[in-house]
Amino acid sequence: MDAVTATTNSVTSVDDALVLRARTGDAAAFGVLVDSRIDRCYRLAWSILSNDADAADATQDALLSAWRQLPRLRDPAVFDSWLNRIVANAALMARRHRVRLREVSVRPTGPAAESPQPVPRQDLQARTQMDEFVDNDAIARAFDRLRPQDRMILVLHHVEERPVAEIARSLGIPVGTAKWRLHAARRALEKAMEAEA
Amino acid sequence: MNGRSLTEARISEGLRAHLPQRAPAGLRELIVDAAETTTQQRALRSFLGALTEADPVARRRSLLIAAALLLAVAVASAAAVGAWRLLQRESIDELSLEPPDDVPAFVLSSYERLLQLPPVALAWHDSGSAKGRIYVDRSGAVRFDRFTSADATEASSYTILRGNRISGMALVDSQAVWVEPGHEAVDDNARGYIRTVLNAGGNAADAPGCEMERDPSAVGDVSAATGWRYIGVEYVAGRPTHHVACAGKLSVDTDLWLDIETRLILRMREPLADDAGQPIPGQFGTIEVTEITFGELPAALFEAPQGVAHMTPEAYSAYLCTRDTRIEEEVGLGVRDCSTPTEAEATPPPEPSPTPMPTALPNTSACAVAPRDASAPLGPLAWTPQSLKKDWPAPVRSEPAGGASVRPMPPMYRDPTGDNGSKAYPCVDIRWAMADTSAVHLKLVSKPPPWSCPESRTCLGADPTEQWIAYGVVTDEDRDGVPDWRYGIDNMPADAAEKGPPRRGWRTNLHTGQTEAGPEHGDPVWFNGGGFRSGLPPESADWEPDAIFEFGGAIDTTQGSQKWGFELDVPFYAWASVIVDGRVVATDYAPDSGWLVATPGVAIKPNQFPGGAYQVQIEYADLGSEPVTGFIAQEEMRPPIRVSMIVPHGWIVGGPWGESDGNAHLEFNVVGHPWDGCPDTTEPELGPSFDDLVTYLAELPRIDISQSTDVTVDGYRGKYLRYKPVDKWFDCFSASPIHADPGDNEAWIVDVDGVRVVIAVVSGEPVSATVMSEARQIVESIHFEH
Repeated sequence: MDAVTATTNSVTSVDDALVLRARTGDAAAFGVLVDSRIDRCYRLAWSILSNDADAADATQDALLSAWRQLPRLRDPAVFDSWLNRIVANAALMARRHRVRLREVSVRPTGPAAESPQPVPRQDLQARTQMDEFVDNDAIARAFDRLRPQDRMILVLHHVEERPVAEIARSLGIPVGTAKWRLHAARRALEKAMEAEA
Repeated sequence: MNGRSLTEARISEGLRAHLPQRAPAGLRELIVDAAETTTQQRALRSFLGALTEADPVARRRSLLIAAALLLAVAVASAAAVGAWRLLQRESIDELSLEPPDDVPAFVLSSYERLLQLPPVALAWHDSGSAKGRIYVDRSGAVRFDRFTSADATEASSYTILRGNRISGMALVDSQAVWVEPGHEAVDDNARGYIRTVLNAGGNAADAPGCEMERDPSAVGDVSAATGWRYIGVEYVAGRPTHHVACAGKLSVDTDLWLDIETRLILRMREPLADDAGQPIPGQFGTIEVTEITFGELPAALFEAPQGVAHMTPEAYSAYLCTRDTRIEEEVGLGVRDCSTPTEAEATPPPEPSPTPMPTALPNTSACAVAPRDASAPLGPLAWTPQSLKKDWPAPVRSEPAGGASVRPMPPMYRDPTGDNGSKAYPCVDIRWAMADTSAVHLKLVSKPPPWSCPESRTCLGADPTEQWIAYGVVTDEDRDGVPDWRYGIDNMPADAAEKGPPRRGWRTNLHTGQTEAGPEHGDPVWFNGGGFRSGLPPESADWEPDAIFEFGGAIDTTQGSQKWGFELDVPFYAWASVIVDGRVVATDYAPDSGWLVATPGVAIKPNQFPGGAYQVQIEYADLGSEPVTGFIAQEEMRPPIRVSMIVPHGWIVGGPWGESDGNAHLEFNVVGHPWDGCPDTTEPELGPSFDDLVTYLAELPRIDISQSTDVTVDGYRGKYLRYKPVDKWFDCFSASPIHADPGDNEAWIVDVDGVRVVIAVVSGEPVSATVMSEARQIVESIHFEH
């Protein structure tokens, strides 16, 4: 067993223990689980809702729902995919509730938006900061045009770096289907970028 | 993209820059604090606990095992006790006459359990002279019998709802005829309509806390039904009930007696109100079930009777339009199309059952901007930009003296097309309206033309300087047949000097002429103490609405679910107008005469398909023989297979799927080689040809195929399969070549020019006979484009 695997297993076992404790009603253990996952849950909800307040509400609903149902989760190892699924469902429900009313979410223009945090890369020489900003903006605008299910799977894979098997379980679909959807979502993103250009 | 290709790293980088990095401050504390005061749902002990397993994959596996065990127990019980009793009755929980621990949950379960009501026959009467009978068969079909008087012993007419199909026997000039109206109920579980007869909750159901069901769109709604109080155990029609009460809008109790076993409403009593809407002291209206018998019913009850003439929907509709027929006596849900009256057929000849035809979807071309239709009649309104602040367009429909009919509608009402007064402006020709008690959706023959307004990328609709387009809803608040309020939106900027959303929302009191617009022009529109919001979806498919009006609902807040607005439980009609050069040149009403009223408890479903042609696109790749581990390269992609089909009304299209295990749907896939096989299965091995797939599935130990029939789908050879998963099937679930849920499954595999297309009916729960029948019809209508 190499070092990376050992570390991963160690983290997993700690999380498993927390899930087991939370399952018995230990709110402090649940708090620790929330600490390490709330940002991811919020991003996932935001990717579907594109709105800060709605994403916060959906995140809250989902995590409280998870807390209530936790005693019924028998296998702690699937906690993350199970939680992702709850978050996705809560966000989709919230989106359904909004029906199709046209809403434009205005995000404050802060220093971060004006000068995006550089992401360490090996090919910085080939890209200027302006290129990066333009690229990111194009991706962001295209991303906003995608269907929620496409956004969701892109975020789980590209931002949260979840394995395909976990994504499949999160979305309740076979691994093969998850791969297809990931592929289709990426193509949809490319098409949306072409449309935005 | 500055000429650079889109790599995985760039996608990740772009998305990370776009998405919020952190959850809002304080959210974590809010959640953990709430968790500390929130009770967890404990699993049942022992094996049964697995059936409540939160993880769906594990739950499915447990359900499969449970199903096998329960089957064994059932067989043993049948041998000992008598199988006939099992066939006569559904298995039930052990009855307890103790007061329910959670009264709101008990009341809310009356709706949830209603949708699973076992076969039953019941008779009811109200405190007036009305009475009726209701029959429910095992498939969920419901027959509603009507009687002309309290003394009548034979039903004069009846309506059958099977899935979302309506049929029944009616009296036409005293002659019995069999009709199948062209309109359809939307809720595919017909048992839900039983509440509209037994009048669940009466007036009280409108009042906060007296609900009978949760708002399905309100996540975390915990306030529903909290006003119900427990009274005690009482017997109605010989069955034990829990008597509960809730003070509704009239501040007087409405009482319900809910069958403890099935939660069926066996008696309802509500206060009577005078014309001013005030309760009449001591006076109540009641509806009561007098007889109830559980058990299988003769199939003939739900079929067309022998020797009765068939009447076309058009002839029946025309007949109704010539009569002042009470809607209760009609077959169907009271929807009439009287826009093109024709002579009723007094002695209609027998006709074969109508064959469903695909709905011809119109082009989505926009309303022409010019030239004007010279033959179009000019409306009564004249508008100038200078009068922007005081003009709110749309003529009010003239009403017949003495009021007009009110039609309880399922969510969908189909409006005739070509009746807006001008063929040049189809964007105000209403195709259909859907409504529930919170919203009205309109679909138009064509969308308004796009308006390029660079100030806002989401700008929609026509340029108001060329075409002024308005949509709306008129309501009759006091149900006297006289319109009271007109709600509208148009494509006019709230202020010509502003560059805001090109949309205004308003409502006009039609008695005083006073108009109020939302405090913030645009979308949504809110009014103090009530209001509505509306919108024109930026993109809408053929089955999606082009205009939406919401009158009430619930908003999730950190303090829980908050209701807003009001329930649209009053008669209404929809309208759409286009104004050119200051004159109304086209107007459509839906309906053209009479009023619609939403049916309580019947909700609009998002993406509900009105029926007609639909196409899916299956993308696939030539992946060779190596398992796929990452993205599929573009050069591996093959031209997609397009699958066109006719989808009946009531199906949802476009997804998202997977929100509910009970969401039956058709899944289309291409089976490749060999990675689409079970990854943990070495024998048999999935080969590349269609016959290889057939052999593979036949030999696969994880499924038990009970039927394998040669078929053709759109001329391509195929196999129709009925099968069940056996143990450990789900070990293969992660990449199975064919979908398998616990219980019976059906799928078609088709050899489309060497490409193996699999079409499976997918659901986590047993699929009803109606849904299955419709799924087969969809497959039979398939046309491949490859």
